[in-house]
Amino acid sequence: VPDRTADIWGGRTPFAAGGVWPIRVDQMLADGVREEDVERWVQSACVLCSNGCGLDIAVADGRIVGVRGREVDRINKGRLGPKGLYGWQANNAPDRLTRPLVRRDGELQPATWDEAMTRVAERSREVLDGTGPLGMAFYSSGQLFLEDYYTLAVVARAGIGTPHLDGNTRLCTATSDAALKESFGTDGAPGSYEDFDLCDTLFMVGHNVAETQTMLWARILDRLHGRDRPRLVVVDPRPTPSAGEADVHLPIRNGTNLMLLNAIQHELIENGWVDETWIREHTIGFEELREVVAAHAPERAAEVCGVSVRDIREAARIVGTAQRLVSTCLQGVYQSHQATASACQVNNLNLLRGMIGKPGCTVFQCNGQPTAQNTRETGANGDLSGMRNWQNLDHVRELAAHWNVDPLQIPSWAPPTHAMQIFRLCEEGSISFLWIMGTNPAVSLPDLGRIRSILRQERLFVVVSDAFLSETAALADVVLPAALWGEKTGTFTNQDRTVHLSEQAVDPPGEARPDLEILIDYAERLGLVDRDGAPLVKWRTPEEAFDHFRATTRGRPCDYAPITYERLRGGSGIQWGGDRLYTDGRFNTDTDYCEEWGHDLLTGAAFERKHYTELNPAGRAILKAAHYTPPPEEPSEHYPLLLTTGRTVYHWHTRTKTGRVDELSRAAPEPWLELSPADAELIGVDEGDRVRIESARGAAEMRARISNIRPGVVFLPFHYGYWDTTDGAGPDGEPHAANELTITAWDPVSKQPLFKTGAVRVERVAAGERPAAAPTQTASAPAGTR
Amino acid sequence: VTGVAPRPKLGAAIGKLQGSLTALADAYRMLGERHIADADVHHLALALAKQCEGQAEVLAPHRDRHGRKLDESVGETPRESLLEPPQWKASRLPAGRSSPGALLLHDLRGLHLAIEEAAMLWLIVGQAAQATRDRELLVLVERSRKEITHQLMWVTGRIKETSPQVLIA
Repeated sequence: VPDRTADIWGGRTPFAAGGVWPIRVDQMLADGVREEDVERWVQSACVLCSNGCGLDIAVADGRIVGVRGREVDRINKGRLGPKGLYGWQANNAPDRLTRPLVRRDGELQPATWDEAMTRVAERSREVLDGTGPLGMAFYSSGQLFLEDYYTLAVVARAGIGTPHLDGNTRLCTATSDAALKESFGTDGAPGSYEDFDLCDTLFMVGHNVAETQTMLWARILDRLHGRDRPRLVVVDPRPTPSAGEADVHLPIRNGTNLMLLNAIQHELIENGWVDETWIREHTIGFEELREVVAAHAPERAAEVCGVSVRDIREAARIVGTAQRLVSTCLQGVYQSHQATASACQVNNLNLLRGMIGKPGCTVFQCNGQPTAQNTRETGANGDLSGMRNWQNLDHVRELAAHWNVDPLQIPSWAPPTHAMQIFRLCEEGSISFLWIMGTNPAVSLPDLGRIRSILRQERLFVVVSDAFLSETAALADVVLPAALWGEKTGTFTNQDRTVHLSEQAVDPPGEARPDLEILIDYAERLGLVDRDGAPLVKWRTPEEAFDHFRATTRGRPCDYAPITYERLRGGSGIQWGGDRLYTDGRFNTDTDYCEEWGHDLLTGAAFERKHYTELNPAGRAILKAAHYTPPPEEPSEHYPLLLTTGRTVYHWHTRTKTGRVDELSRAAPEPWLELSPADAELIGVDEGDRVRIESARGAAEMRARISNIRPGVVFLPFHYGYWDTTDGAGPDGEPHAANELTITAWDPVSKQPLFKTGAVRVERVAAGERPAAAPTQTASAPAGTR
Repeated sequence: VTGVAPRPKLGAAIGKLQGSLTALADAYRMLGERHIADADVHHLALALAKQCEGQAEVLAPHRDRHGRKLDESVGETPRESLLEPPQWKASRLPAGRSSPGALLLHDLRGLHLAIEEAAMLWLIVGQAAQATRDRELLVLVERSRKEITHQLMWVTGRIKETSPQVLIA
């Protein structure tokens, strides 16, 4: 078996535009296990990125012993990336949580399920009887299944009746969701992966696809290396593998996306590279957009973004002369300044060119996590179940009827509370019960010193359900051992709306339980009932939960009615809504159909029905416009460098799984700081030296990697926390987590936290005896090697 | 700017509007500095303070043209009374005492009135701009009224979110 941490994307299978992406089956079995030892192959899909590659899980002796890509699956045609091939081994890690833990005399100690759940239910009841639902909050993940999320949404919204429910998808896909709603009326990716097979031009902004979605990059690489190579424009301050393949790479100063995107639109309009007839018939807002982008000429953008006028013009020419344009963006937009405003401009590019809803023509507002789409569809984030509009009373009534509760029970007096605000309310003390499921805010949220102090408060009761004793779990009052992927059945939906079924392959270890079971137990203990006194949660099995959700989506854009467990078994994943949305140029913007009535992009102020009706989109897409503004924190004399944080290809989130897999952990064992040769010389740092990086929030230390990152910008991977250090929860005097430094700020519309700009200083601490142990084939490659 | 005869009373109204925008900018800045722990309020308030100052600044040639100077009309700073002196630590106080949410709600209410005042003065100036067919001023009026409307919608939305938590939790 080849070492796929070294051969990240696997062998090339080039193909030309309109061709079929060839099959390549990737497989990995544990040491000593031969194919004939495998007793069963169980259908599933990968949960280690938003691509959602179809795979089968190999089982022998009641254990997972390997995986194999599903060649019939439309997403990957048999391929798997390094995380997919190796990541399953985390299920078998020796330090899985196998028993509930409760805090006694300040220590987490083993307990029975009954004792742990009694504590959780009693504390909930106490808060509900005292403060009421506004004292209760739930913060989940992008890793659970649709069935878990839907049950959670029903429990929190209809049962408890709290607005304080969100997922960590707030950190990864909130802006994708927001931008799709602003431009097209509802969530839902307009296009299909086949559009990558058909396009002649690719425009990627802040989307390090080669590391974040390796098998999507394999597909794109096969196009780039085939006949009819599509033209490629990449916007990224780092020298990513995709930037290396680009016709034009714009390494802009981070935080200036909106300026660049406005300048490109300025050029499209100036040069007549827009489809005026299509714009007139299928969009509104063109005049205002024209006025706004007129103030963003390429000369101004070149100065603000720090790239040449010539390159901006060339990028615009490539986009402007495309015949079949696919635009994409990800965290470089979503976690940056003016996130929703910028993501909407990416939508605008395709709208201006009339290139959406047609083969090879679409925009991908990509997702971060594998099941992020389902938090949005089920309403386990800040949305209302079934892509409904919380401001639209008819939508709320519809949902209430479906759940058989009083419409007043569902909190719809204001937008649901987003994650950062939930933590703020925990900080000021008005929330006193917080249940965190399958995520790790003590490493993943900005300004960790603050987050740890919030979670440590005596007055806040913290429940954590997880598979491992994460940094967050270490601070909890009750820890519930949860089953992982492969140990429970459920579905999830990837970033091109492909729904996959993931079947249970093995039993969870020890007493660990599926999240769905835990939630149903909780609802029963609280005695949550509908308006007739019957149990609120009317399902027991994942399939029953799925079917209940399907009924909720009837007539909504994400209509799951045609998709059943039966149809999902055996073949490929299935897209809801068919292969493409908006094929007739009609968008989901009718006043009573759309998912929201829009926002002002600068302040985030929500428009109301009267404003929307006046606008009267009536099925036309909305060209949103916004002026560039400077980010909240810019480099200064004391903090002269710009910080950006992000992923590396080998790790997932906070390494709770990937850090427990030898192959992946060895490939990226410790944090590092990337800086340019120019900055390294200025500071006097050599490759591998220990450096200290400091912001107004905190400081961290690690080794330096001198890379080809944009001068003036430094990068930190966000994966590294403290579960594998002696303290287990925090730095204990030796901080190295990226989020010790990041600023507490978020986008006014999507409420996504800002991780991609902030001001820092870097100092040399000591000489290194070796180079940084940072990946060498990715954006982190040493300067001069790629 | 030529072609429109000076209207001293319009000049005075523009001066009053500038004074109101300057007071509003101060109110935003005070709000932003007082509610650092509410990061959205903090960052946006500082950005909107600049927006208000920008609006006041571009009015200067219009005010001068109509023959009144700013210092003749800034006598009133009505908005200051709506915001009590800064209580820096208040936004980090533990619950059960003077709740930081209650303080935020109080300050947002005060801000709402200050924005309303500026919105009304923009309306008054806008009416006069229409009657004098002053296209340049009308462009400013249209853009600024839109911005002020969004400010009002923002503060209203923030109050809607905040009040249940303050009054009930």
